[in-house]
This record gives sequence, structure tokens and C-alpha cells, in this order.
Amino acid sequence: MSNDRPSTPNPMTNKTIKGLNTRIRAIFINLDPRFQSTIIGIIVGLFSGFAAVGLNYGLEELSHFLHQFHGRLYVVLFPMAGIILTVVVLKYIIKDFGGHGVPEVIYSVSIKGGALKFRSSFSKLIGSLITIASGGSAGPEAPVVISGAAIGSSIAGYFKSNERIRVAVAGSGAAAAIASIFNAPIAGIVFTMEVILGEWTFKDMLPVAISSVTGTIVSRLMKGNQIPFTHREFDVNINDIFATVGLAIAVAVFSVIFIKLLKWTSMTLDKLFKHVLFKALFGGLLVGAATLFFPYVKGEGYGLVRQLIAGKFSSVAALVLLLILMKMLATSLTLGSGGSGGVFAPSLLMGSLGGFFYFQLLTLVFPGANFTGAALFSLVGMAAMLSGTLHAPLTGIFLIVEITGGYDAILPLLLVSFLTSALVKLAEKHSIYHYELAKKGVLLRPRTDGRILSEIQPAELLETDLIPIHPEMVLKDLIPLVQKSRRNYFPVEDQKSGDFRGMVYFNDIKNYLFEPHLVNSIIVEEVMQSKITTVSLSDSVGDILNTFDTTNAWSLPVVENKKFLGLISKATMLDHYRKELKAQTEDY
Amino acid sequence: MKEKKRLTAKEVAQLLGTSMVTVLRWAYQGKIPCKLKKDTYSFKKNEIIEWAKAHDLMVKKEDEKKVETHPEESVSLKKAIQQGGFIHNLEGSDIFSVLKNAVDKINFPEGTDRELVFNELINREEIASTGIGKGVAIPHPRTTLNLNLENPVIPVVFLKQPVDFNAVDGKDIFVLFFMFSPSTQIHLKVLSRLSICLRDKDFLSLLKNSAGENEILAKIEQIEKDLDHSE
Repeated sequence: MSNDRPSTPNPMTNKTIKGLNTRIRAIFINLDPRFQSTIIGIIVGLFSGFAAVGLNYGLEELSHFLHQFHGRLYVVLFPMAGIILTVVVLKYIIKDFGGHGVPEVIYSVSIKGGALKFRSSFSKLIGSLITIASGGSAGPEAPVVISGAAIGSSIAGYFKSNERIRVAVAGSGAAAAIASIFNAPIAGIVFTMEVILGEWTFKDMLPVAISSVTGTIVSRLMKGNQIPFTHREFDVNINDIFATVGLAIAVAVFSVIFIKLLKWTSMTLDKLFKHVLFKALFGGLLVGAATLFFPYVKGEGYGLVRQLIAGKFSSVAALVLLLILMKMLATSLTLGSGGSGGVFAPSLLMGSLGGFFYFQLLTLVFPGANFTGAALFSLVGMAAMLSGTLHAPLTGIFLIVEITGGYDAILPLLLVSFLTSALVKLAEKHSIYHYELAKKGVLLRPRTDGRILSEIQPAELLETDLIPIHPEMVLKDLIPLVQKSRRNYFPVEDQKSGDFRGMVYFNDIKNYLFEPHLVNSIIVEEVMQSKITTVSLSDSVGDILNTFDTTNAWSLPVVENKKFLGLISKATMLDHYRKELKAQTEDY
Repeated sequence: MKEKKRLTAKEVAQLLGTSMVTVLRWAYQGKIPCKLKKDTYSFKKNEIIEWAKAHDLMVKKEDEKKVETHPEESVSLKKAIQQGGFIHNLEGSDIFSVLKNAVDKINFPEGTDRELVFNELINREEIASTGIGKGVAIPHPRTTLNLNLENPVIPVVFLKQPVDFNAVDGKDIFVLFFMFSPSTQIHLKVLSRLSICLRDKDFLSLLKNSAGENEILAKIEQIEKDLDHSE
């Protein structure tokens, strides 16, 4: 893992930007950081709000347009065409391919200080518009999340805010996205804290809250204060609460299957097709076939969710189960073959179907029992699925509460959400968003060992107060150097080329220094250690620590281009580590 | 009946490369999987290994614990000299001719490249004189030559007439201890022993008076015995 730092823009180029720009920037930079983040939060909220509404509108119009093409052939081919087009546009035209949105944002706030490419603020919007409208099974939330985060990051970059603010506004973008899509401001904030940032620091919550509220306002102004899923009142009784425990188990199983299927599909498609276009073709074709037989798996699936929550859906249990599995497959294929979109919406659909399915089983086992109805279980199932796949129980709870407009289902919601995520964690350690990052070893949560180590640079640890010696020196010549140096180690450099040849350790030579016969007749070359493991400044501190472990050394020479630069010692490392940990610890 | 041996805290400490007290503290704090029976903690090896892996901690492998990079074996100066043999009345008027004649006369193994040996000796001599004082020199090749040696070999060469070797004390050299060793480490060990011998006045006079080989060897044996006993 190499050190990846975003470069700050060269201040000298400002001279070419005249007038208003420079003045605005100058004013902004001098503002209090909290004020800065508030302003950026508002801008981000506005943008995300418009993006969410825009994408929604675009999806409606485009799918309406495509609907006029009747016929089986179109049904099968459209998703494939959509995915191929998405790949072409993102990879070759906009050149922002790869990454499914949310993991990218998490990666950026963990390691890159919240830096995201500006083009990510629209690339995934366009991509998912094409993918979802043509029938691909994916969600429109993740694109808005990364768009909002990218805009926030770019604005923060433009105003040269510090890393802390940049991370916070990237998170705000995510919050505003969820808030505006679902008209659910609390869920937006909770999502950012629970999933994106991984921590709850009150200092950073200000821009997140502001952008969430702003995004919601935009959405309400443009779409009206409606909720994507109609408000319904539920009469929850004690039977339901007990029954939901079983629901947690059922949805946990579904979550695990989905996560595993997603991973497996992605891996298999990558293995089978080296070229992205062939992958898109094949995967897209399979998606098309799936939508032909199961039209419900098309797109983001909100239509079916509405039916389920309204209690207006009926089907045979076996068919429902099959539908759930097909939706999982369709989503995995869509995303695995290069389609653009997220897993949020598909998870909601799977969860509500899962709840419905469970309810059917329940009525089979307890035919006479008094349960409120399939709709309640669908609703709770949604929260459970989110909780299970995203490892975000709180987000699930708040989202459902906000989109149903009611607090009625809170008891089963609480139970099921937390139960499901605990159960899922038994089988799958990481959420859908995290597993890719964890695999690469870059899932670094604040104030963890990995995070602290990733922030320290080897150059900070370099100790250079060593006296170099030559291989041809007689030990006698070392005596004055030993007296002068505060160190017990001496790097050996070739007299002509200056190349690093080895190290002389005082411990090795001390016996000879006191023997008059030997001190004159032994040369450095004969006592130096030449087969030493060396490290480089471009190694990560984590790797250097591993080298310490494997060699059992207490200090390691740093050699670059065959030249000795200095030593890194374990003792100094501890000192730096502690200081870094203290610097990263929250102050209130 | 299968016996599943459980590890003690001390054994776990060795396995993880930490101290026993640390392991006991982790057990008490519930950080590490263990069982408490009658005030003693016991651990299951594969549980510990899994736990270490999950926490990104290194586990010391079996052989790592026992192997030291260079096992301490003692070298015998006497044996080395016996192997090398004695040469008397070597001709030569300067460093070059002395070394050349010595290389010709020394009983190297079959197929040894004498030219290479001579060059290596000269190379070393050029960096710093091997004349360590009191008329003794310790020529040796600059790099460890591939002479298929398992043990050090030290031919002792007495010169017909003393020669100037640029020694530290300016005295002419009358005896040379050629040092051929399988590694630099062993070379340094033998050298240390030789240096101790040279501090002995009796030994020096034996050398100066060109005493018999057995006498010299006997003296070395005695010095080495005292050395080994005191170590």
C-alpha cells in the first residue's frame, strides 16, 4: 500500500485567476472553519437535492420513453445495451470508471482526506441513469451519494479547506443525498455517521446536519412534501413483536446470501471476461433474460415496494422466494458487469419481499394467530435488510420511521434491525460496502492502529545523526569516531561511489577495540554486517513495522538508490505513534 | 484417547513474543481466549493462533525460537595451526617475494588457484598492513576464498631473514601466521585467540627462538585451555 496523498493546488496559479474569484476565495479562506463548513454544507445540500430530484425525474422520463418499445427482444436487449453504454460512457468518455459509489466515498474519507474527483459529481449520475432506465437492477441512491460527496470535496478543495473540513463535507454530500431522495433528513445524517465516516464526532456534525436539511428542503420544494412510500398507520401488537425475531433470522440469511452472491458474481465475471465490454455484454444479457421472466427485478423496484407496504401485493410463497433470489442475482449481475448504481434500493426491495415471504410462512405455521398483516412485515423487513447488508441498523430504523411518517413500528424495528446486523456479522464480517476495502487492507477507521500508521510517513521517523565510515578503515581509526558519535551504529559507505555497503555495530567490535594487536589489523570490511534488510522511504510505515517483526531488528537502515539516508528505530517509532494518537484523539 | 494439551501462560507468551505477565493481564481482561481453572489460566494453541491472526499479531514459529544465527562453537587455534603446518627459512626480501614464496610453498588443496590467493593476500595487505607488531604478521585474503574449508587453517611461516612489512610498531617481521578461514566470523575468532597468545611473553620467546613445533603447539594448547576454562 503506497502513500496516497492529494496534492494541494499551487498557490502561484492564483495569479492568473483575476477579479471576483480571487476575492471570494480570499474572504472565504479567512473565515472561521465552522462557518466555512456551514457554507459548503448549504451548497452541497442544494446540489444534492437537485441531483436527487433530477435523477429521479430523468429516470421517470427515460424509462417512460423506453417503454414504448414493446416486445420481448427489447426487454432482453435493453439492459445489456444500457450496461454496455454505461461502460463506454464512463470508461472512455468521462473516464471515471470503476467503484460503485459508496465504497469510494468511504475510502476517500479514510485515507485520502476526503478527496474525490470532480467528475465523480456527475459521472455516476449519468451512468446510473442509463443503467437503471434501461432495466438494469440497481439503486439510484449511491450515485447521488457520491455526487454530493464529490461536489463537497471539490468545493472544499477550491477553498483550500483543511482535511478535516474536507472529510466532513464529503460526508455531508452523502447525508444530503439520502435526505433528499427519501425526504428523510435524520436518516441522511445517521447514514453518514454510521456508514461513511464510521464515527460520531459532534464537531463534524454541523455541516452534515445543514446539508441534510438543505437537501430535504430542495426535495420538498420540488417534489412536494411527499414520501416515496405512502404513510400508513400500523397497529402493532405483541404477537408481531415476537414474530419479528424470526424475521431477523430470515432476513439475516437473505443478507448473507446477497453479500456472498455479490462477491461471487463479481469475482466470476472478472475471471471469465478480461475485457470490460465483453463482461458488460454477457452480464447484461443475463440481466435481460432475468427481467424477461421476472419483470419485477427491473430497475430500482420502488413500484413493488409501494405495493408491498400498502398491503396490495399477493403471491405464492415459493414465487416470492424465487423473486428475492432473482433480484439478488440481477443486481449482482448488473453491478458486477459494469453497470452503475447502488445496492440501497435493491436491498429495500429484497427486504420488503423477504418480510412478505416470512409473513406467508408465519401464517402457514400459525394459521389462527393474530398478526397485523404482511405490510408491517414488509416494512420491518426493509429495515432489517438494510441493517444486514450495510451493517447500518440505525440508518435502517430512522429511514423506515421517516418514510412511514410514523413511530408505530418502532418496537419491531428496533429489535429486528439490531438482531439482523448482529446475526449477519457472524457469517460476514464486513458489509457490502466494506468488504472490497477490507480486502485491499484500506478500511481504516479513525484512531485505529492501521489508521495511525497510515498517517505517519517514514521520512518523519528518519534519524540521520550517524557518522559514515569506509570499508577500508582500520578499527583504530574508528576510535575517535566512537568517542564522537552518540550512536552505537555506523553505516559503511563505499569510498568511491558512496554506496551503502553495510553496518558496523559497536557491540560487534568492542572486544577488538581494546586489543592493541587487533585494533590495528582488523579493517571495517571484516567486521561489518553486509547482509542487512533495508527499507525505503516509499515503504509504508505498516510495512516497515512488519520488517521489524520479521527481522527482529531494533533499527533498520533506510537506503534509497543505494545511498544510505538514515536509520529508523523502533524506539523513535513508539514516540511518534503516541504523539499521532494523541493528535488524532478528539478534543471537546 | 486424544490428549489435547493446553498451553500455559508462559508458553503463550513465548509463542506471541511477549511477556507472561502481559498474557495473564489479557486473560483477566477478557481480551484473549482462555479457561480459568483453580486460579490457573490455560489456553488452546489453535485458538491463540487464530486470535493472533485476527489481531494482526505475529506468532513465533517453532524453529525460530531455537535457532540462533550463529551457534557458538569454539575454534581451536592449535588445530588450525596443526592443519596449516610449519614452514621454516622462507626466502624473500620484501612483502611481495615473501608472500609469493609462501603461497608457492604452502600445501593448498588440489586445484587451488595460487595466483588468486596471492592477489587476495596482496589486496588485503595494501589496505592496511597485517604486521601487528613484535615481528608477527597475520596475512589473510581480502575476501573469503572458496577453499572448501570447514575449519580454519593457519600455516606458520618463519622467514630466513626479517622483512619490513610496514608493521604498526615499525619492527621487521620474522614470522607469519597465514589465516585461511571459512568465514569472516571464524577468522575473527581465531584472530582473537592468536592475539591472546601473542600477549604471552613465553610464547613470543618460543617463536623468536624458532622453537620446535611441538613445543609451540604445546604452549598454544596450554593457553587455550586456560582460556576455555575461564570462559
